[in-house]
Amino acid sequence: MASAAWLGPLYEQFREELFLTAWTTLRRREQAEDAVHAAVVKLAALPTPPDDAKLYLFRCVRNAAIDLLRAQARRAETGLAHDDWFPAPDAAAPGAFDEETLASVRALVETLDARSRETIELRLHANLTFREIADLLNEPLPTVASRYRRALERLGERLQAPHE
Amino acid sequence: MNDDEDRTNLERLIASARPAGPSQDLDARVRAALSAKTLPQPMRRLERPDRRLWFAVAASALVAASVGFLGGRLTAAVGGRGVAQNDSPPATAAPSTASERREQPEPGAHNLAPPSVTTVPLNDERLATLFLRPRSREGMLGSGPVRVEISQLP
Repeated sequence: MASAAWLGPLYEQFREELFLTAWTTLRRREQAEDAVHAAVVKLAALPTPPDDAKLYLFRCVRNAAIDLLRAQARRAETGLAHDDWFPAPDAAAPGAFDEETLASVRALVETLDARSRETIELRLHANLTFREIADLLNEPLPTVASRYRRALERLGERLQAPHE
Repeated sequence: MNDDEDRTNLERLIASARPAGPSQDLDARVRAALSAKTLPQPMRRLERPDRRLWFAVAASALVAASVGFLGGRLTAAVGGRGVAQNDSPPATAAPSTASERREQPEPGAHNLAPPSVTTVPLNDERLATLFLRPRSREGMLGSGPVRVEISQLP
């Protein structure tokens, strides 16, 4: 039987980022937690830790989230729950941004295509580097960086548009 | 305000809009999964007696093999000495015919035979008499006295 002693500290260090990685794909809290749990169970069965344990863990969480999303589609359920946002109690300093502004930002992020939204959220919510995102999505680093830049520009334009 | 500063503010704004982290329920589930995966570790310690048992079995087999080898060597040594003390040649029947004399091995060939082998140079008929009782002898007309009856009937 495998020894998962290496996995506990890794989960404790990145538990929130792992959850947000799954949430980026699933948009539902319970399912995102299920994906993280499934990935941890899968990794705990490994006989030895992988070389890049952090990347491997994030990749397993994302794959588990994609599997759950496909299973959800097979069950012919409704689409993504875009209104499944829930406030983060410690996301920002109190009074930094009002709730109305944050709600409009969330709605704007939802208007992005799936790949751009995933890149934005992995970078800004899960705090992954461009290299880590590129490894996770199995894409070249310049592709990820340019997609992030374009998505950010689009969000900036849409955010300023009502005020102009 | 330049583009880089705007981007930084926008990034900060988007980062502030992130959802809350995982619940304590997920932590409990992960801990349970990890503890379940690490539970068999103490069982691995139970494998050590098995190893000791294997070593004991191997050692016992080695000792038994050694004892058997030494016993075999001792038996061979004692048996060889017993044969060496018996200097008299084996009793054999003297050849009576020329064919029996031819069947008698040459002296050089006799010396090559191991001392524990007894050579009996007899033909088949005389050799069979050594293992048959006289009563069980059987001639061409059967065993026992021969009775001859003559009849004049056609």
